[in-house]
Amino acid sequence: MSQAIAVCHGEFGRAALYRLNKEIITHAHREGHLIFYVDGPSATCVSGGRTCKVDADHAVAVSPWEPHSYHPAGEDPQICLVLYIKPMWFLENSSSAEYALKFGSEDLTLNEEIKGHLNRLTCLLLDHEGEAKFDSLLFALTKACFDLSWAGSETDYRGQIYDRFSDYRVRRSLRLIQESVGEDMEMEELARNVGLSRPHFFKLFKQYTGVTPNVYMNTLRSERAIEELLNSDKTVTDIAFDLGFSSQASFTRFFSSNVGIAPSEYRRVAHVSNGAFPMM
Amino acid sequence: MTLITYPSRVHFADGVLEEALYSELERIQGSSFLLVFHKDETDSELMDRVLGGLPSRTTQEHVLFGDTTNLREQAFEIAETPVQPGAIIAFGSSKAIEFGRKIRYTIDRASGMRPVLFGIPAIDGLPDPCHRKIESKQAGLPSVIICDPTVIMGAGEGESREAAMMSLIRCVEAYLSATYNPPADGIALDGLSRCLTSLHKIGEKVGLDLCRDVMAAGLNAFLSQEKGVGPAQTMTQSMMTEAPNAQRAAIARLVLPGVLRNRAIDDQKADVLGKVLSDVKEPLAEVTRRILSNVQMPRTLADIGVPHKALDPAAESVAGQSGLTFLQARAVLEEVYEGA
Repeated sequence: MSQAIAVCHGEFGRAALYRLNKEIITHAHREGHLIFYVDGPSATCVSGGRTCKVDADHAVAVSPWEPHSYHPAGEDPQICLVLYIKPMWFLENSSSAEYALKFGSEDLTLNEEIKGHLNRLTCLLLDHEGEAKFDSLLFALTKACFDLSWAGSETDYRGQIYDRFSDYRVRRSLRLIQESVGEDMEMEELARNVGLSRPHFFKLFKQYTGVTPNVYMNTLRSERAIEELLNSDKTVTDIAFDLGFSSQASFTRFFSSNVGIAPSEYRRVAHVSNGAFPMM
Repeated sequence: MTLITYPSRVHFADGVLEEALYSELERIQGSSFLLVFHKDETDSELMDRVLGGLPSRTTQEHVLFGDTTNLREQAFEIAETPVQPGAIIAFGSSKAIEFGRKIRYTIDRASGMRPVLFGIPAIDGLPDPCHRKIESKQAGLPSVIICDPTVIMGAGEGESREAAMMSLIRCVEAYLSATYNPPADGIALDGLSRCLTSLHKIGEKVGLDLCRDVMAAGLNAFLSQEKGVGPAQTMTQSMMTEAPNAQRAAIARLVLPGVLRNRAIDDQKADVLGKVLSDVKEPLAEVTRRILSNVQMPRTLADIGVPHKALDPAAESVAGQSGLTFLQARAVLEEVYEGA
């Protein structure tokens, strides 16, 4: 069973050290996402249609809203460090203006600088100490990975934007999904509400957002679940019902396959860092 | 002594509206918002986009307005209601953002709580500083400004031209203001250059490049007005109380050249401004007149619909400002009232 070793939330987003031996299905995040190998067997991650290695020499960089999945090699768990970096935090702390934190390439071949940052950051995450150092190290690691992802790229699309909102039907559906997190919404009904057939709606939604409506809705549900687990005293069962699940078991299945570990496990290890924003 | 304050966080990028709004609202961790917009904006694309940028599980109150003549009184009425938003999100017209500013001020006065003000401008840009300084300084500038050029992609040629002209007038007056504010001067000069680029392109080219320039010029004009409002704008504002449906840019463009001929102007500044505006050395008033008259708009104040009785109060409103006397200001207005 996959386990959480340490989870830290802060102004930067979140950082987690997981022991994973179960697949994480195709999902997406609002944040920029980095997956690093720490120990154990190698694994793979599928992102942007490419299969990327997660091993001692390779990490994976996933841009915001890019669908991706994680695949362990076997039963032995891989220990990995995963970062979810808020684009605004990255923007505040960098001297450039790459708002979207869009990575140039998913596949990163690690250099010694990044490996050094990675080792130190993992130690700090396990210590739960040195929060000021943690934030600056986290930024250095993210920035080094961001720059590496664009190194050698012939065309620089860093300023490229997502045009998720340029079709009014997609815009409306995004709003409807947002308003109905926690309700049992049928995709058929959603498509009808924006005046499209289901196949046309799925095609248009994917074209503009890069993800399917289901993945988008799951992302919002995962966000809400994490927020509740971290900030409320509700039981996992209550959170499950509030999010529209029929039982705690189905919520646990959903959470494990989208986030990687069980919700109770997540709550057990997660803590909030109080690092300044932006770093001074 | 000069105090220079630029307390706003500005986002400026194509398509950034929703992500920037979401991130900023998440950053302030507010959960209740007051949306301020003109009634014409109801169910518009911009409104859809603003709603799309709000985090889920938040509460929203909407303030629609149609009458723009008594915003101050309307703001006081809102402050007396139990509405205590963590943030005011004013979007669309400059009047909406001005209204948001007034609402924030009145809530602050009534309850001591100052909500964060978001300004999301459309084609007519951001509002002038308030004539009552107390509302235009720290209490009034938006805390967050989100400029997304894609918002104005659908603007018409006339609207774009008016916006660029108004920005040019604001930048010229801000730059010439005697107040010592080097950052505002630099911003004004960049704004001017963008205005000129835009005015050349409007009608010939369409696309995001043009929208970016028009919006950047509007933002720069707004920020440069940290130095205050110039006499041409003050007189324009005064005349608009008698002709509320008139186009602001149409009035201001007639008034500015005459003001430049009569007001006190630092030689060095006139020289710099002349170089930005034209390759040919000619008097500043002439250059601006030539640039501003290149646009199809009414040629006199009378054609615009300004009543003659509006001239005296307008001239009085600037008497003693920037070296202008009442008689000089009055003569400037008379000259463009029915044409020389």
